Amino acid sequence: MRTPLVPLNLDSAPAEVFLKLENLQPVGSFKLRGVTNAVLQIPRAELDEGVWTVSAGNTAQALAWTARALGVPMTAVVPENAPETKLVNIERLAGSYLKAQFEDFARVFATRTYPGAGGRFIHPFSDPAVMAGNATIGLEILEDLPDVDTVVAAYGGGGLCCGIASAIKSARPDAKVYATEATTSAPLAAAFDAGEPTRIDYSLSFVDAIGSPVVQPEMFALARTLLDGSLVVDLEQAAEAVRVLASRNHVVAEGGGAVPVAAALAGKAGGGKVVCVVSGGNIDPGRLATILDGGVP
Amino acid sequence: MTTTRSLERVPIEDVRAAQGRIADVTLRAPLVRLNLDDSESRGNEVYLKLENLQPSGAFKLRGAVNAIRLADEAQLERGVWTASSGNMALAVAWAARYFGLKCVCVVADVSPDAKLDAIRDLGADIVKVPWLEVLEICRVHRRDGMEGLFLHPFSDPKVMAGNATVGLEIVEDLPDVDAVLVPYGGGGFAVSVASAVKALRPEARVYAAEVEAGPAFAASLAAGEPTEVEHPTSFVSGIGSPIVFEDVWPLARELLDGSVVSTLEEAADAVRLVAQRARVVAEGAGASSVAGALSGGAGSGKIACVLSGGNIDAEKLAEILRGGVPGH
Repeated sequence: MRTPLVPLNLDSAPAEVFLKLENLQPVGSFKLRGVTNAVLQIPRAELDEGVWTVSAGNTAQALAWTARALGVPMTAVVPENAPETKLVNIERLAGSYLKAQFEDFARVFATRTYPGAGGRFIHPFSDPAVMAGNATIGLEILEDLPDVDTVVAAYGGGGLCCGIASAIKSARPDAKVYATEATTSAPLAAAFDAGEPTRIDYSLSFVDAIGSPVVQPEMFALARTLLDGSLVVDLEQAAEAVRVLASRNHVVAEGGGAVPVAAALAGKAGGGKVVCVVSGGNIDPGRLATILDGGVP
Repeated sequence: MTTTRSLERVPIEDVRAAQGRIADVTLRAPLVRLNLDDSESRGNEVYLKLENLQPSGAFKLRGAVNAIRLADEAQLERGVWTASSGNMALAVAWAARYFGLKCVCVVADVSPDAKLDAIRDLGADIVKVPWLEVLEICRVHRRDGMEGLFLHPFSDPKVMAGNATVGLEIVEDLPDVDAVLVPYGGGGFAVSVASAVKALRPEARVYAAEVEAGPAFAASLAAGEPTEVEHPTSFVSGIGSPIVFEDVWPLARELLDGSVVSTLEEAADAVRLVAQRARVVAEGAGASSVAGALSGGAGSGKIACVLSGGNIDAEKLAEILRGGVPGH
């Protein structure tokens, strides 16, 4: 879907903030762009054995959606502690999954192999075709708001930020592109500080679609040339952003989808025309209810 | 001054003109497919017209902007005013601020806090009156002591032409649409959308969506004449009425293929469903169209539901997300 770019309906914002509503994609996140682009570049004959990825969340749903549309089998390697709701989402889209120990799961991002997973592997972020698909978000932002000053997006694996930045910087080199992370897990900010990938303390939170113990080295090499920094927000700021998006713009954002808005509202993205990529909306209803009541899940 | 003349269909040329007139201020809201399991969809395709994404949170901005742009400057010097349960007030206040006009909103005293706070935030003055007085203003199109351009929430041809662009866009995006469901409040919106849809695709069915709390149109259809119903207060505050307006009734009966009445529980279920599957916030009235489609009341095929607005109190939404029905 070519998602709409809408103004944030909040007068008190420190900048002119716009929202790129990727949560409106059919599977609820931007991942559909990159995954679809990657799968469609594979000759149809090579898809008969199916496609697989390593993800329990938004990439798995996106790949299952695309595979179902093409009529090919799909498998996701998921961590053993993946929430049941996410596994149900994969099954609803006719996908299947294999549970892996967390260390084995994390290793697949680098090794791109897993026993029992067959067919073509689609990497969740570190793949040129995936990033090119994600970059269409940047292209659309430029089409809709040619004089954009700043774009802010969440940093999970880095494929979203780097894809968008590639598109924005090639057409508008003066525009800034920032990554956003949550305090509970901000490996990119740590890597920027140290000048190299650095292992950090990592804790789980409701901002569950982003964050990892360390950035992937090949992505950091790209990120440091393309991104203007990483803006880090705390969980209360992230929850407040989810609340603002629901009450003022009437959209449901997951924690990872709301952190760019949190950064913009905190003034971290500067003034001018700031586009926040609301990357996804897959949040557990109970958690959203807690946030609407003023809490932090 | 009093106008009881019956409404007429909105000419499709007026709708097209309105579309160009409001395009730079309002959102051309996307029409998205609702992700349903086979057991839920029963072979139908259900689409959502996301009017909750409008800057004011509801479709009403379309009509307000169209009417203001068509007014002459002398008319606008003393500002604009309206009477509504909330969403028209929000739209007129938003538009007034956008165009730099003074604005007064006469609102029902039962309106949700979320709506009133948002109206004040937009710089409009609020006059609270009993719900029945709002109905009376809508009926007679005036109120003593008010000045400036009156923007009637539903039965004003300029407002209707703006609101009818929703129907035009649905057919543009889904040319083979089989059925459209429109929340029925005052009825002006439903007949506006129906005017456009039927002009472009006469074979499409257009239904009113109502809830069990105040389904005046369904009751009137059943009786064959305007009929009063009980109108208990509910979380579905944007629609529901004890009466059908006499100027709307003849056209509504002619243009609409029926009314699909949902229970409050079905409306709450629909609010929860669109939050989870479409990742949008709908108010009860906005989700009533979805509830109607899922209950099968709109028949089969490609069904477009107008998700008319998203202005719901946060605590009511939280209660719905936890599985409850506010007020029960």
